[in-house]
Amino acid sequence: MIDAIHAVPPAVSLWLGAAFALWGRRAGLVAGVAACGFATWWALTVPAGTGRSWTFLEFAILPVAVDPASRVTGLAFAAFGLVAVGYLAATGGDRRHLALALAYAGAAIWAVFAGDWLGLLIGWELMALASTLLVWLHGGDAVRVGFRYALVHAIGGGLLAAGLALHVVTQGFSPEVVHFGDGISSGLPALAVGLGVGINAAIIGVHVWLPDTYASPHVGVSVVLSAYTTKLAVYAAYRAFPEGNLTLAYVGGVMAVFGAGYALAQKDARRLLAYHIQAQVGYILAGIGVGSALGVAGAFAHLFNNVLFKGLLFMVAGLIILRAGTGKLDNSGRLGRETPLAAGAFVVAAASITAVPGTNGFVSKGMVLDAALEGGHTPLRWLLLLGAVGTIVSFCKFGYYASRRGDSRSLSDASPPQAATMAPVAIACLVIGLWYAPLFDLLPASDEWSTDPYSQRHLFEKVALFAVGATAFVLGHPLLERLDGGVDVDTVRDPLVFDGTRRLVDGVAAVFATVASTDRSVRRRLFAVLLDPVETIARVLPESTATRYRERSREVAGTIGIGPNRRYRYLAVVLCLAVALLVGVSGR
Amino acid sequence: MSLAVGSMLAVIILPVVGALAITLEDRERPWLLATGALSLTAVLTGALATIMILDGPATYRVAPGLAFRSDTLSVTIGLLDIVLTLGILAYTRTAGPHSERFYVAYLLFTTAVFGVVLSGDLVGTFLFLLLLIWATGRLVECTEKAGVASAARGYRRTATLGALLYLAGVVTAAWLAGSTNADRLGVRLATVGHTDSLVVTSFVLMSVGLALLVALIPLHGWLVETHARATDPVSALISGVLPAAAVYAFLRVLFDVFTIDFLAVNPGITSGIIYGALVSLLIGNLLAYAQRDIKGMLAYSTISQFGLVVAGLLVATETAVFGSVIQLFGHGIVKGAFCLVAGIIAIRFDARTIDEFGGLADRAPLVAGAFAGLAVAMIGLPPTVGFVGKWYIAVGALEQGLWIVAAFVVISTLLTLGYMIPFLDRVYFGTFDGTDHGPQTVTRAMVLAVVLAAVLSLAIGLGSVTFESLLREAIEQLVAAPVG
Repeated sequence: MIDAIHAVPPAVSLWLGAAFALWGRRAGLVAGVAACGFATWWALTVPAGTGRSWTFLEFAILPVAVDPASRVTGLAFAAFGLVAVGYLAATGGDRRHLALALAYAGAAIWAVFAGDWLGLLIGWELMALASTLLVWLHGGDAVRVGFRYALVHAIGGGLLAAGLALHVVTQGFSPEVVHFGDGISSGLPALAVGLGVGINAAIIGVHVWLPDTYASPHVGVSVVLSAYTTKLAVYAAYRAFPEGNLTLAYVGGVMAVFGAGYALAQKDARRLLAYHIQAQVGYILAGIGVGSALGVAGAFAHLFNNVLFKGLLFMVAGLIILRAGTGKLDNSGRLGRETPLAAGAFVVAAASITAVPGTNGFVSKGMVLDAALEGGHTPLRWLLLLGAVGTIVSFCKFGYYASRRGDSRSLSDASPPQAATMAPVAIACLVIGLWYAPLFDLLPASDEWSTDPYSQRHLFEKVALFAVGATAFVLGHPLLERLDGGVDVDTVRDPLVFDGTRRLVDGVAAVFATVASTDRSVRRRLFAVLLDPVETIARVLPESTATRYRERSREVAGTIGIGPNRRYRYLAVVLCLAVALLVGVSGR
Repeated sequence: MSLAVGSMLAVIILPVVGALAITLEDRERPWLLATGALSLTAVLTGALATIMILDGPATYRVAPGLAFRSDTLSVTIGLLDIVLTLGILAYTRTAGPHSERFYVAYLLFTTAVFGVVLSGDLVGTFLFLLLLIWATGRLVECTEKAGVASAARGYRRTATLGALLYLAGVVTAAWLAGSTNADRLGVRLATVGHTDSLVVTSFVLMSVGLALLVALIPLHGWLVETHARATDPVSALISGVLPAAAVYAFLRVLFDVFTIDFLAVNPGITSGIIYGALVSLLIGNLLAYAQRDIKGMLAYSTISQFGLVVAGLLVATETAVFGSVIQLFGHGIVKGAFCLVAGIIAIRFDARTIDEFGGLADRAPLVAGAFAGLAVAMIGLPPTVGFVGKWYIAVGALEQGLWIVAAFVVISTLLTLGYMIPFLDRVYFGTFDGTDHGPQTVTRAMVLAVVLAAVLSLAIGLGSVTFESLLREAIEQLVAAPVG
């Protein structure tokens, strides 16, 4: 059972921190670090099980429910919150940034430790709200992007809620129906929930918000955002399909290739990384979709690791943007020997995401690949391998541009506070890569699977992948350069992707315009008298009387300006009495 | 005399003592005296509530025509009364009115509501209703605005007419059954027969009289006028407590005197009141649409909300009646606080109509936040109290197959959304174009009162299940068919 201190959801501490952050930047930093520290401790020490159930309406809600899946996700969220808050403060985020970031991370942690769909949905919507505001804070172009982000997530949240309602209807009502149980009932509920979750996970076709949004706001905000929304979506996918789902697995596989492919074409540092989020989420979804013990464990291991190295990559990208004033890799200055901290962090993070042996990415990516192999999903495995090659090529490119190309001036290195937030993440990436047993103990069903990350096969596979990747980059990089010589890829892609969206939006707008105009005309014709009796009366009166009448009616809001209307009131009473007596006495 | 009876009488007498003290005391500190009296009353109400929860209902007969009884339901409305009157005091301390007359009427208003709520005798209820009407009229008069005197006069006359209709019904019933005590009357009317024409007439007279005091359409004229003319704290009472007291009196008449059997054998009356209440809800909402002035909007919104509450009562299942009671309570808090917010905005920005509300959020973020929170509660979005009330009413209605009530719950939510959103839109996304008298014109206590109310509306919503378990017994007794 769960004791008193663990019965309080750790999200509460982050929300308290958010309230403190309104005080000022320094207070926010201290409170945020303390809150995330507490949440980390909480996630590590809380015993597995469920806390007190709490009834809202007729649903039994579990604010705290801990199992390996929620623990490992929550731990990643809480621990990353520590450095993300620090980085945000170290890159000039003010108190509003800190407060919203804490509210956002708190919502994510709330959702992870909630034991039922209703609680998860609440966290889900709060996250959407807080993250939209975070994006908006940056002003300028981010406002437009933020609107799109809000729209997409409103649709996603709506689909999720609709799917859950359908799920409740199919299952039949009981107070426990909203608990996670064996996942969402198949058919329409599963489709709606899958789509709602998919939007947040940035599956292909509904992913445009991801590169758009993560490339626009304050650099510290990008770091915060990169860790939570998509990862929570993946976690929700696991709750919806705990036994796996082959469609989901292949969607994940295609995402890995697609994301890495598009990442290749990007010149903007943060856009490139955002596409890699999609690719990595693809790996995680593939693991969950395969559904075997190893697959799920690998997925959650990769989720944990991905939060670390992707966050670190965004930190480095943020640094480049801060120093160079632009995120365009071919225009910014260079990382290199003069910037050992930033360059070192980049090397570690890039090695992790491309799964170089000795890093955490290598361990967890291997697990997902093994799960595909073990389950006999050969095409899926090849998709994932192809995605891995794409990742390698695109990070060769990122590294090449960041260190060799563009403006020849060298950038200045990370400041001590910035380095202090980046170093722990980099160290964690390396430590987990070598000493992975503690992480494995946290993973779901840790006694039902085993893996040896450093087996000969894994190492050989890796060498082969790097050989292919490096060759592809060396051979292909002139081609790559010509292909995406500037922002051309955007203009090729935008009509394709955006037109559909725009048509949809236009369609929706047209529908709404029709509804609105119908509403207007109906209102004008039918309700004009009812809604604005004063104007209707005034219009028939002669000019001078009408003005006096309008003034008089304005004296008392809501009346039609005929004295205190006492006679009318008496009449109404008499009428009511008459009707009521008629109905009552003779109506039987 | 048990502890329960003692505190019952004390909550009625204490404000009167306070009022007397204010009249006799020469020094100019009526606010302090009122606060003292009401704080004590609040403590005693809390004690009464605790006793009700622990020991169950209590009755006490003073004289023929005057009896008191109390259970968790009546304490709920009593709590609403005292919470609101105390909260509004935080507002009136600096914003006024400051006159002695105001505070005397204010305390008597509190007493009258307690009297209506705790009275176990229909004649007693009538007497307290008269006191309530007098006190409300006095409160409306306590401002220098033009036309208040005639508004108060109009209100007194119309409301007294309603109270007299109610009395006529009581007299008819007493003539038939030989008692005015609610419980005894219930048993004896059953022996006369619920389909007897005179019994029905008596019910109709009482219901129409009380419907006027609840301000159901088309008997709502007085509410709109007094609401618009009175000062904001008084409007808060008129919207939040006054109809709630009348609804409570109606609830007692309905379930104690005439009982659920009466509803069963007179389906015409039952559905008549339900449809009447739904019409009130619909028209109230539509008229609220047409208001540019926030006070007008709030007044019509009150009318529509009470349509919903009455419809929920007539559904007469435990679930729906609980929904009505919590809606009554929640609406009182939310609407009362909303009137205060309107007052705060008017004091600081001279803003009364929607066109003047632009961009207030940048200048008064806390007040705007309370405004938004209260709006959300009023629209009835989860997990606020507004949602919980509507949910239970809808579920109760569906249990009875009254899908039309459930449909109107949804319609009313959408309509409320429709007229609240423009205000919120202005407050947050409009541009400021008006005068700002500066934050010092509004005291911290005023802001704190409305913020607390917004928080409370959330807390009651989240804790609705506790609320339900406390009220369950009383409501079960209420809607159970009488024995014998």
